[in-house]
Amino acid sequence: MEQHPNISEHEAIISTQDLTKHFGKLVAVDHLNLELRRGDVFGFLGPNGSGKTTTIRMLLGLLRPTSGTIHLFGLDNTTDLQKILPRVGAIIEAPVYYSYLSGYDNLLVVALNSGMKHNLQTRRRIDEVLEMVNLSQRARDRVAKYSLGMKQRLAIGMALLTDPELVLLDEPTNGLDPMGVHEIRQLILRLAASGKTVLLSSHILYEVQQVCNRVAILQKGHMLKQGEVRELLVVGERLLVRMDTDEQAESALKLLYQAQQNGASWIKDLYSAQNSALRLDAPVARASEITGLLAQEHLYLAEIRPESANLEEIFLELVGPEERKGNMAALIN
Amino acid sequence: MAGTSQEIAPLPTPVATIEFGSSKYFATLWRLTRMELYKIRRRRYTIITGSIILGLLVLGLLIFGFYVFAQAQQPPSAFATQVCTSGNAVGNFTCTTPNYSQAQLVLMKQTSMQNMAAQLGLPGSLGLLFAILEGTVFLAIVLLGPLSGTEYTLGTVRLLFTRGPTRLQCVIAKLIASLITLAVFFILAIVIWTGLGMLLYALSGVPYSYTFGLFHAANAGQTVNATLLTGLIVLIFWFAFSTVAFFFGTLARSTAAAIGVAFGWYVFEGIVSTILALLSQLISSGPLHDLFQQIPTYLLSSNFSALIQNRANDTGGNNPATITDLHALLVIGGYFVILIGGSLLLTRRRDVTN
Repeated sequence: MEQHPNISEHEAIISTQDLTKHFGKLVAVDHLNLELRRGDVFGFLGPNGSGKTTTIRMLLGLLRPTSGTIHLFGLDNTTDLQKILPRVGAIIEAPVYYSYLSGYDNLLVVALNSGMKHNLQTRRRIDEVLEMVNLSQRARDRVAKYSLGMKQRLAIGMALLTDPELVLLDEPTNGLDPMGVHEIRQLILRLAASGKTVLLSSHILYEVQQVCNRVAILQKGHMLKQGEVRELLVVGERLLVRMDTDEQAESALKLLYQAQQNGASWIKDLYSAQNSALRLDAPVARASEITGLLAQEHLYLAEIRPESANLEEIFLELVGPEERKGNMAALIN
Repeated sequence: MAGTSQEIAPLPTPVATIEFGSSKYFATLWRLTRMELYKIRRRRYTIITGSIILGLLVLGLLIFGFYVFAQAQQPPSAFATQVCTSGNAVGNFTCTTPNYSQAQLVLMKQTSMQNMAAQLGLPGSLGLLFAILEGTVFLAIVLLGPLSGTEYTLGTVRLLFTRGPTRLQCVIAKLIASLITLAVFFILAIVIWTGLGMLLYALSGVPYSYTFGLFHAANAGQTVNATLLTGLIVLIFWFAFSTVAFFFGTLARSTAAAIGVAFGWYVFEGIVSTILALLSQLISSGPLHDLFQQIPTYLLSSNFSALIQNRANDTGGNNPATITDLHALLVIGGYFVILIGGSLLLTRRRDVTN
């Protein structure tokens, strides 16, 4: 893919500094510092109302930031938006289209709006995109008659029509069946393999873990975490310890908590779990020490095994309610 | 890539060349205008509404044409004019039909048929068409009212504003497309009306002058100018009300508001004009009388009607309007500045949350 002279391989395609947006008294985005590099498939995670869509809208110039700056491709989006937008394809929230037009006509309208000439080459490109999103057979039908999955694919086609360098996908799998979700995931992977930079906002954390190399996690407009997915998963190293009875599990929990208080700082956190089990955020290499600690108090475990945290666990820990963060004071007391 | 163990094929490199047109301001504006025209002509609502309006015009002309044909079948005696004299009391008239000679009756029929036929042939038919279009200006709201509000209702406004052109270019393109659509509609109406009128003219029995009697008329040039100018004024009248709908659609981000408020504005102007006219008759002098007479001179419809009336006066028809052309042009210009300027300002500055 041809690289624009403004951006070298490692520079940020998207960069925000202290990006803030207020809607009256509501702080939708609060001093957000975001960075996407060329070639990233960047997961944008957060519960409803965390500011993801607001951020995407600000990136595209639909909303004016209250304060802070946004740069895309090294250009300031408040002054150079018209140079930026032709290089971006986006789906924001629900797919939008002209329901009274056919799929083909919708793409033609987008093509003309994007600055493409109304000629044979554009028509060929539209046919190409329809083929890519598997809508060729229904291209001439009015979009009002499309299924939700077809509308979603059309929206993706619109986003990819001009072969943009940056693709912003806000909840692209909303309302899709499992086959549709799989297709979108494959498409995102193909986008990445094509060298495009993708910003993916999604609630389906398993999918994000499958396709993204970097993520940012938001809550109430704040950035809680940003980094490489593999680093976050390593940070989330965990052991599952299963005892014979619930009473033994509770005793083990108290024992390990006391050990943590008495200097075993390698135990990052403790959680009770179902089926007489408990989870420890601790290095896998410490498994034998844990076995020894428990054995000293005549607590013999039935099972101990590593359990890699998945993105969902990390996400829920960061944004979930207090009891999910493993507040041992509440449990012990 | 986290979690990906399989080889994923990249997207195919585009085979079709992606050709972009000029990014210069007016080239972009023209391309956007063509896009808007494409959307308008592909929209069933516009086609059906426009067809219904043209159909009603055709129906009206057909009905008039067959009335003229029916009148042509009447004997000359049916065209005898009555002579009325006033009696002693106010409103008391006595009307009688004098004994006309056959030649006089034939002449009366000829004159009557010529007057009716004049409405079917040029240039009279255009005058009639424009009078009808003037009286039905609210149809402009129906025809093009959804142009702005629908983008917000459908959410396609975020499609429009995130592809490269500026928001102002998008708005201006819509307004230009609106004007072009109305012009096309008017041209279609003129062609259909004129063609049908000439066919129906044959039913009148009046000999047809292919110079439309103009070259023999003392003020032929003036008549043509006045007719064409009237048509242009009516076109801009329609554009003005579609712009009213456009403004309210943009303001409220809604098609319903666009059509509802604009229609309400049209009705309100009519009601206000009538009430103020009555009030100014009741209060025959003083500052209130002057105020009641002045207010209608700042209404949109009143000023367009004045321009049209003054054109008729140019050809020796009606009396001139109480509103001068200069006043009318200034007021109408002011409305366009507010409506178009307001639409541009609203669009440029607002957050798009639709």
